Amino acid sequence: MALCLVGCGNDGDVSAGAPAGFKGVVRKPAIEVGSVALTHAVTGEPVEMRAQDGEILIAYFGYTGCPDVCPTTMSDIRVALGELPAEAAEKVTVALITLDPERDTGEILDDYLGHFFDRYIPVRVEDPAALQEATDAFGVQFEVADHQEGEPYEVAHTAISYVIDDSGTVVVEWPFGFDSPQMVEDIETALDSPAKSSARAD
Amino acid sequence: MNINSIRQRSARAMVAVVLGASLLGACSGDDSDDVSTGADGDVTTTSATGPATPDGGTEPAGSQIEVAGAWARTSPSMATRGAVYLVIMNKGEADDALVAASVDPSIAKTVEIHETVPVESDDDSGMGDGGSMDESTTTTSSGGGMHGNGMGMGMMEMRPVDEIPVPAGSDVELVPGGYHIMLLDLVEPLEAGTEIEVTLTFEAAGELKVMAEVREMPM
Repeated sequence: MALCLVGCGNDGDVSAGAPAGFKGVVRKPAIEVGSVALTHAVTGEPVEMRAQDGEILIAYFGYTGCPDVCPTTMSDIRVALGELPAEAAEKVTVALITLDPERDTGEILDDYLGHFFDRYIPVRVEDPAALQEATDAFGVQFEVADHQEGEPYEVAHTAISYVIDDSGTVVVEWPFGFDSPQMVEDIETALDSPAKSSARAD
Repeated sequence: MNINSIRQRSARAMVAVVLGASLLGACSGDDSDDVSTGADGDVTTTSATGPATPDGGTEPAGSQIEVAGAWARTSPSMATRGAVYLVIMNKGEADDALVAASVDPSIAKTVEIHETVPVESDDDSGMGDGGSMDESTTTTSSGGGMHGNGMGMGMMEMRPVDEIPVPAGSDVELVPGGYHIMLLDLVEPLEAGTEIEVTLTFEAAGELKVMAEVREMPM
C-alpha cells in the first residue's frame, strides 16, 4: 500500500500502518470515539462523533466564556478552512462540545459556532457523568473552577482539536496553538486517505 | 518620534503576534499589512513617560512606555467576554509593569489582566496529559507556529494576574495564548472595523490610553 509517499516521515516516528504525513499528533493505537454518547445542544438529538462518509469532523471541547484559548482555536480553524479549496472545506464540520453546560445554552453555542463556521455542530451534555464519560473517551481533562451561583468562573481544559474520520477514528490531534497552515495540510491528508475501515486489502 | 524604530519593533512583534495564525489569512477590511502604521489612524502608537530626573534633563530617566498594535478580537453576538492584545515597549531605563486596564462601561463592565497558561492536573489519567503516553507512540508536529508557550497538549487555563512586568528596554507582547486583557460582561458584541479605547495603567509611567482595533484575527 502506498502509504508512505515521498516527503513523509519528516516528523520522525511514524509507526507502520499509520497514515503518513500528518503534522499534528498521531496516537497509536488511535482513539475511537464513534460511539461516544453526545447530544445536539439545540435539538437534543443524539450526535455521533463520526464524520459523514468521505468527510472529517473536527471536535473541540471548550466553552463560550473563554476569551482567549477557545476563540483563538476557532479562529485558527476558520482561517484553515478559508485556505482550502471549497470542495474540501465543504467536507469539514466542526463540533464544539461545551465543558460549561451551566452557562452555555444551546442558543449560545449555536450563535458562537455560527460566528466562526458554516458547518458546525453545537454539542451539550448536561449530565455531569455523561460529560465525564465523553471527555474520558477523548482523553480530555477539564476543571470547572469553584464558584458561587452568578459569579464569573473559568474552566481549565485540554485545548486539543481532534480530527475524526468517517469511521469514528481520531486520525490526528492538534495541540493548542497549532497553526493554520499545518491544519490545512492535515485536513488535506485526512481527506485524501481513505478511512481505515475501507481497507484496500481484501 | 522615531517612527522607524517603532515600525521595526512592531514588525518584529507583529511576526510574533501572527505566529500561529495563518499568514495567508485574508484580512477583512484591513488594507495595511503593517500593524504599526499610524498614518491614517489605523493603529495608534501612544506613549507615557515615567518620572523625569530631578534636574529636568531632556531624557527621562524613568520608564518610557509605548504601546502599539492594539487589537481586540470580534466576539460572537452572545459572547460575554472579549480579549484585547497589544505590544508594550519600555524604551526607558527603569522597569515598569502594567498593573491595570479599563474601558468605558458602555463596552464592558469589568476589565482584568489575564494570562493563559498550561496547568498540571491532579488526575493522572494518561491520555490527555502530554507527559504520560506509555501505551502509545506519538508523532509530533515539527515545531514552529505555536501560540504563546507552546505546551498545547495539556490543560490550558486563563487566570488573572496582578501585573505584567515590562523590564527596562524590553518589549512584552500580549498575544493569543499568552497574556491578554480580558473584557468581562461585554455590553455589546465587538464588531470588526470598530475601535475601542482602552486605558492602561502602568506602575511607573501612569495612565496611557490606546485605541484597539476590533478584528477577526491578528493581522
